Amino acid sequence: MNVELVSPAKSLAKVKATKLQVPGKDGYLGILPGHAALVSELGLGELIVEGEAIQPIRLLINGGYVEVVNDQVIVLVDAAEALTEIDVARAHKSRERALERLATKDPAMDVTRAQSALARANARIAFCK
Amino acid sequence: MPSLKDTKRRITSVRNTQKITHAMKLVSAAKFSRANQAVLAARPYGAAFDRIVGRLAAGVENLENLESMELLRFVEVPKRVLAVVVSTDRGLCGSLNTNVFKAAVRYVRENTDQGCEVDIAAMGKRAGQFYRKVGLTPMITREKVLERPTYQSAKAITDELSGLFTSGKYDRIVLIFSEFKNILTQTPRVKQLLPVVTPDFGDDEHDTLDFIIEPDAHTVLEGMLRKHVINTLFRVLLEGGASEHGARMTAMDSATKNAKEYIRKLTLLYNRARQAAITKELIEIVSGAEAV
Repeated sequence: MNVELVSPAKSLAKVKATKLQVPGKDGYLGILPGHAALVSELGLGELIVEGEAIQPIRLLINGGYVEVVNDQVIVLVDAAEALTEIDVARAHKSRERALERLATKDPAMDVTRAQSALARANARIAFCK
Repeated sequence: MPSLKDTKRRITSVRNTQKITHAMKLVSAAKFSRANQAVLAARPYGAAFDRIVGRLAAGVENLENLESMELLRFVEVPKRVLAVVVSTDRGLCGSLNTNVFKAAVRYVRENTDQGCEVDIAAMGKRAGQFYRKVGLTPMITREKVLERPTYQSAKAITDELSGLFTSGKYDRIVLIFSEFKNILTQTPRVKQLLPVVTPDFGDDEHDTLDFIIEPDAHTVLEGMLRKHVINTLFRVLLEGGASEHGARMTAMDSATKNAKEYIRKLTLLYNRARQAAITKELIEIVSGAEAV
């Protein structure tokens, strides 16, 4: 199957793949050749593309869409980071910051923002392990 | 007739200016190619996005509840409109900003005539300066929007604008910006950002596929609408950047040419003055010799 990975700023990859894993909004989706037509929202997590003639692609993505039609797969991602682009130390720091913010009882604190920052940091740390 | 020394000084001064404009042209050319590349690189996403929306809309049957989405809230006669004027931060780019401001002024006048209130959001330093000069206070001012725009920055701006729209503060939000046609032509354009102008789902060439949709069609389409708004703004910013550098490049090129022409004229003047001085001296010598 053909997999096309695109972010708003550029086209990331266009490859022939045998296996694709994407983080759906409610859990990971595995897509193999011959998959039924599908459109799904994506969440935060790890995307893996594997193929016979290519090096596996591993990216940490946050939000987007995947569409599968007749073995043509398009993955639209809002943000994608490769392993080499992630600063683990920074992720740890922002994790602590988010936890600190969540621990305070300040009513002005934006809970959703702090929680998503925490989720992002956790995902980054887990991704780099 | 200006003295020899003065003319010489002016030539030097023009030549220095020419050096500057030439250097600026080269810098703009480099920046332009980067901006242009960004525009081109962003195209696959837009194309893929439209394709998915088109197929999805064709595949999903009950789109009636589409009207309930807040980003599509359409008002027949808008009462309050927000005009987002996108300009550059720096000048020396020909009539690029002026044209955008003219279009903005026209848009505001047309709408005020129809009894609707128009507020301004000034994006870019020049727009801020322009509205300060005419004595208007923009609702929002932002600078450096065209300097290497990222999807994140477009998202931040869109979130702010969508908030103003969904809260009911404005019935319509338009973007006024210069559209990048090619390096020589940039035309001012008014484009409606919100409510979202639904793309034409009319063509039935897409096969109606039985899609599995996660979590459900309504949520996915609503999410995609939101992305569509961000992407629209993102593209406007990218094109704005390309327009800016393209316009500056052309402006600096013609400035360099003008300087060249001016130098030519001044040199002619200088040589004429020099010749006249020599002739005068010769006449003086000759007539002096005759008098002896």
